[in-house]
Amino acid sequence: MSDSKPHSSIRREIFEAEAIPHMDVLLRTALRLTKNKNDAEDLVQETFVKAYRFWDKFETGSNCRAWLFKIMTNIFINNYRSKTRSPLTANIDEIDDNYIYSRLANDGHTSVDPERELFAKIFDSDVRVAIENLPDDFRLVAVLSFLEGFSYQEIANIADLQLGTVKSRLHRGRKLLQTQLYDYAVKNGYIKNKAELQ
Amino acid sequence: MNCQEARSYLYDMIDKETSEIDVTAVQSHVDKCPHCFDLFRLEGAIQDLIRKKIKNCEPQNNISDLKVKVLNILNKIDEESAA
Repeated sequence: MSDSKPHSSIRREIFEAEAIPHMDVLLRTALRLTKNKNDAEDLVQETFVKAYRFWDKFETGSNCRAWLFKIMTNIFINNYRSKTRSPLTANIDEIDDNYIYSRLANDGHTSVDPERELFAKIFDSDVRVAIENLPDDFRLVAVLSFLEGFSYQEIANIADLQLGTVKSRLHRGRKLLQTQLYDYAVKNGYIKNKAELQ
Repeated sequence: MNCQEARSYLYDMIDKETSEIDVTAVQSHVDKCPHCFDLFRLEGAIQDLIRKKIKNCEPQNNISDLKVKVLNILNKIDEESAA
């Protein structure tokens, strides 16, 4: 009698060693994408079940984390992405590039240290809300870049997008983040706008 | 390199996507031009802030329950395929 393990058991062991350790990383992105804990956990669960079913398709030695993100992104786009258009996107092309820089320059903040004024008081939760307010398509690329540190090319592969689309969504996502953070800072008195400076 | 050209590479520089960029040329313009210097510095600071805060704002997740749940489903899949 052979003492070697059956194929299915070895397959399971490798999956647990290679894929399962990425669960916490996938969950943090899933939380940013779905914006709630229950959906995030469901999304991660679906991802691992699908990954296990397709584990034979995973090329040993390639990037398991990126492969899992690709599966999760695909499920997110098909099953979780909001069907309604975000009101934020309406005037996006009218927003100045480098919005905060433009506002600060326009408001006459030339002689001050905007970083200190603007950033000292912004809370973690302010940034979280600003990210969560982004339309799904922009939030996806923003989270993959800012939170997970994937390169443009990796994001293109994961989300099945052209490189140019990744860059343009990231660019527009940044504009929307900057408008929110600037408005937030003005509203809370962290920086003064033009009217208040005069 | 002029301001417009340098600024077109702003986010590539910030995101360290520089394989197709003449980084030295961009940097030497930015070092000479006070407006671009301010812009690159501010945008860099904004990016650092966002990256730092988005990491901080993660709730402390206990994934052990989720892990157990997932492993149980995998057990079922194994049983089905063995049957």
